[in-house]
Amino acid sequence: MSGICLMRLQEERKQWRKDHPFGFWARPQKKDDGLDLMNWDVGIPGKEGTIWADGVYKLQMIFPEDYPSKPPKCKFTPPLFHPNVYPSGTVCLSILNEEKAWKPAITVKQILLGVQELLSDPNPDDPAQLEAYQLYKKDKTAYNEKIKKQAKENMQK
Amino acid sequence: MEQELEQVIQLIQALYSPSTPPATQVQLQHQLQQVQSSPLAWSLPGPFLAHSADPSVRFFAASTLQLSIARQWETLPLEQHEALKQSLLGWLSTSAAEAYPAQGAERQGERVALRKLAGAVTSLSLRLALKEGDAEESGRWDHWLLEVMARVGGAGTSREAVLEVLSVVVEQVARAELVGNKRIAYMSTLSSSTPMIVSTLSSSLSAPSSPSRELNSALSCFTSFLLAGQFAHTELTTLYPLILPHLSNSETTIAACTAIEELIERSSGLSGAVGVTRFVGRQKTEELVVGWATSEWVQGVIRDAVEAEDADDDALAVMKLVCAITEHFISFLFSSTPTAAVAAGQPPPLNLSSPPTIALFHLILAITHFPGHTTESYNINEMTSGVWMALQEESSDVGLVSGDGEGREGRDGRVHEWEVIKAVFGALAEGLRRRAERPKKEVVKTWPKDVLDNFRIYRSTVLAETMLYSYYTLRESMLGGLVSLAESQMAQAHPDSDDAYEELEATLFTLHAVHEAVSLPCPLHLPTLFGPTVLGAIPRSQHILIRSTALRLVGAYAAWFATQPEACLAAVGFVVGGLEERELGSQAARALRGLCGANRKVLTGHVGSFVAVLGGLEGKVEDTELVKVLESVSSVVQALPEDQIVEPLLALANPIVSKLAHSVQAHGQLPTESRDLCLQQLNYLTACAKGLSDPEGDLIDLDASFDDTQQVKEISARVLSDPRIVEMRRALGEAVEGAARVWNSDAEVVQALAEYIRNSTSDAIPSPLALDSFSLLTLSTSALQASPSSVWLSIAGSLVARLSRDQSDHQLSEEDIARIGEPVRVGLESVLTTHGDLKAMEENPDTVQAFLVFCNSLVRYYPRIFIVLPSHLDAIITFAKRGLGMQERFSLKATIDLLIATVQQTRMASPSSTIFHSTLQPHGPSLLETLLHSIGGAVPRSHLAALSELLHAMIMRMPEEMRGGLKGLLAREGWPSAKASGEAKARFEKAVLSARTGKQCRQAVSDFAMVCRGLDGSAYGAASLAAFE
Repeated sequence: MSGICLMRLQEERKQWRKDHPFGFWARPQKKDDGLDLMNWDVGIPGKEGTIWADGVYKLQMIFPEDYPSKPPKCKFTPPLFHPNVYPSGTVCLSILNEEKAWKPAITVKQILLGVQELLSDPNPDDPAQLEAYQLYKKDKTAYNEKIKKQAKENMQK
Repeated sequence: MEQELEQVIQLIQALYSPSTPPATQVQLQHQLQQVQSSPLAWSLPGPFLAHSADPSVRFFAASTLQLSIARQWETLPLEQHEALKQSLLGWLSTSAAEAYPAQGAERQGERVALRKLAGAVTSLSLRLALKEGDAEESGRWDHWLLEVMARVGGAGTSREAVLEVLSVVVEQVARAELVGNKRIAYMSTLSSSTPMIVSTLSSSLSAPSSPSRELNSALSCFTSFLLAGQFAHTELTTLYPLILPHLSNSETTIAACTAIEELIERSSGLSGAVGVTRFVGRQKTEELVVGWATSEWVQGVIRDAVEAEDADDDALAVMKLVCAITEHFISFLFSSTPTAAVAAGQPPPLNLSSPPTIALFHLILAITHFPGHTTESYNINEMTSGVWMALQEESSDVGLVSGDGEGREGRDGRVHEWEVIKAVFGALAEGLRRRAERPKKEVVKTWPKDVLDNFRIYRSTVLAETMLYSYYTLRESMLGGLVSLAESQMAQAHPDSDDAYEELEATLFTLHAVHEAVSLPCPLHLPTLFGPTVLGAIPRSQHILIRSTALRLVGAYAAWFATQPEACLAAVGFVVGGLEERELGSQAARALRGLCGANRKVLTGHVGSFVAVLGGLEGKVEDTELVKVLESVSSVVQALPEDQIVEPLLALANPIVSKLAHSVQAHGQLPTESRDLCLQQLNYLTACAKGLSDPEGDLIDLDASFDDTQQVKEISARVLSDPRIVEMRRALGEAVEGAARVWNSDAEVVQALAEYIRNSTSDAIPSPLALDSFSLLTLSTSALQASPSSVWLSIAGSLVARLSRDQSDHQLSEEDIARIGEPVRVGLESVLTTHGDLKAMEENPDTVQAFLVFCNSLVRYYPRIFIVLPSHLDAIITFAKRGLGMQERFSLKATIDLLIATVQQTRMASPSSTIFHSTLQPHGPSLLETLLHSIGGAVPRSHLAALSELLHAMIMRMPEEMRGGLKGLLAREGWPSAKASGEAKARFEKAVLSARTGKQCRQAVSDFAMVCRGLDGSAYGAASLAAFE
């Protein structure tokens, strides 16, 4: 693991612990000898006042060795029903794409707020799963119902 | 035969006889090992186990049997498999009955033989349970464990015998390296015995008369099977309630605590255990909290240990489990339970203010603050760190954090909970602060060094980290509390007493521990801390401990002073006062460097007094500290405006330059003294260069559009052209050149020169203390000519990189190329002519590595140089090809990097690409051969990724040559490895030639390398694969 990567992740963790938006959580996974800074477990609440509101969606952030030159991979576990989430759960978002809008200065907090935004405001130009995309395009009512059901399933217990 | 066996018995008895001298024992052992690998090994266990009563003979027989099954199974004819199985089951049950008879006395020494026999039966199962084909025909042993248990249990043994055999089996299974489908198949042969295992464990655990030895066996057996992944919810539902009563029994507490701890660990879902996840859910966890963790028994155990300042193994196990339960409990504590569960008549779930929760926190606090200054005490203190992290993070996620702002929204309506959290973290911080306090001087005086060291380490690691959890929760209010405590402690201190400042020292230490979490500018409390009533009142003489901690505190908060000029000056005064004291010098120099580095602009008005301080220090302060001070002062000088910088800069530099020059002149008369002087002055130069580098210099390079960039560069150019600076740099150049000439083969001086050059030339803005890069390159290559050394080579390499930052390859005119080509030629030849053959290369791996890195710099930054030096490029490629034969990993890495860069140059849009192509082409076939040889085993696997990158680049750049070459080479019989079949080679060839991405090529290379090394399909190969990718 490179020193830059590790230092940056420690800093990210420090900043997150100092302050983070309400309802979110983010912490490195545990391993036998302490924390695994390269893999974080994260919870993203659906935005208030949207059909996503009741749920807290679990996501894994996997940081590559050359972070922050390259962005982390964000993966919903279990995979999420959403037009911009690949069937594997991986989030398709421009700021998470090294070829598009990723910049090393983007923080974990910004990423998570970006993903929260994406939930209730999908990007129809960049579909990642067929099922959710088609329903979103063709039948908004059914889509909304499905999302609300998913939100209930993801209610914080 | 009989005679042979008799002889073996004699050997064994002699080996274990106490009167045998050690030298003879080694010899006997060797002879016996030979017996174990001879054909006799299969026939010897039978007679020994049937007739001998001697425990050593029986043990030897059992262990020989296990070894034979594991290592020379192929030598046993197929038709004897069944007979061996039956005999082994027979010996095992007889042995079990003698080791653990249901009634009467056991046979002395039989238990070790039983363990070996149980091991042998497991080894046999690994052979027989995985046979393919029809079970009947092949003699596959599907239900082996069931049969083993039945035979042992039916032989008139106590239950303990079965437990003992089971635990050996499961240990052995865990050690067997099975992967993939084999593992799945084998583990499924165990599952038919699960009901029987559960019933055995249940009988042992529930029988009121079970002796504690049996209970402990049953508990550890449970843990082993749990770890082996053999229990799911059904089994656990039966066994879990049977384990609980043994937790509070001092005879069984350790084994029971371990079992429950493992179960909780697996319930958290972190360990990836299948089937067990969430077994210990919220309800069971709360039952454990109420029914056990906060019971009078547990509280008593912990209370007694605290009072005695000593925890025995039972108490340790109890505390560990209490911590595990609490951490698990916290994961439920902040989420609400579905109301349905409550309505169903269950007790309401525990919350933060429930009495058992509070009692639990008291226990955790007692463990965190466990008294005493032994390693054991500190280990106990550390047990709770996971609990505090969980509590802090979970509570802050719902907004239970002091102050206003982001994240606190959830705190509304949780006033009561916030009170609890505040109180708990307040108590944590207070206890830690007391724990940070050193005992009285007269006690510490008696401490041996290791006790003192352990205290220091505990305080600055475990304690400091735990303190942060409190800080993240309580924030400014905690800071305020600590600062006013420090103020009152200072007011009450009696400077005459020996222990006057111990309490204050602990408070300051605590403030230091939380510094990284304190948000600046923090206008409320820090002014008091660094004002006259605390920092200003700290004595300026003696009282080393409090002053040393205060110096660290100042250094840690250095950035805060940027907005507080007065406090900054006061702090500098305090720090300078410590510089000349032996015990504080290092701490003071470090604090000064922090202060100056972070507050350049604040301190620029005082450069004069800094330089004066500096003048007074030489000779009084260790050199290692003086260089830090020099760096500090230089960093302030760096921040001076253009019109004020020259004088102080010269005041700093001129004495150094003239002493350096003096050392060169005097070396004839006083060789030793002048060499030392030269070294010292070079170190000073390096320190000044470090201080003078612009902290924002990196930005200038990163962002060429940066508005100020041009301006900064212009200012620097104007400063450099000031006649006084020109004169200083001329003298500096002369002195450095002189030093390089006089001591060109003195490793230490050369190293110091290299440090200076590196630090003065690494910035985007030319440093006033840097010499011209081209002259330095000439200097270093001529030094190379006199004596090739890795240090000079690496200097030359970084100078090439430095030159290319100012003027890149395509900006160079042909004259420039010719001009730079000259020193480069000298440098290349100095190594190529002296280190050309493999032997010289192997003897000087560091020179070779530095040379390759230098060449790599040239190829990457100035490829056009090779237009004027074509034969040198050819020589470099030949050199690198030979380098692939080296085993030293750094040179290997450098070699592969250089070759990759060279191949890549053939596709650049530069006039140099032709020369690279035409020079590389004749080397293609031999390079490919060396490369395949390397992939096939000559080079360690850790280099495979780089090797495949090179192969891929070559195939992409020279497809025709490589296609033909690959076919021809792979057609050779037994090459590159005898382990690679024609089929494997064909697969490899096809895969690499059709690979479109580097990743595909890497996969093909990695697969082929495994085949060549005979590692494919092995557990080791698979497990170690990730490490090399």
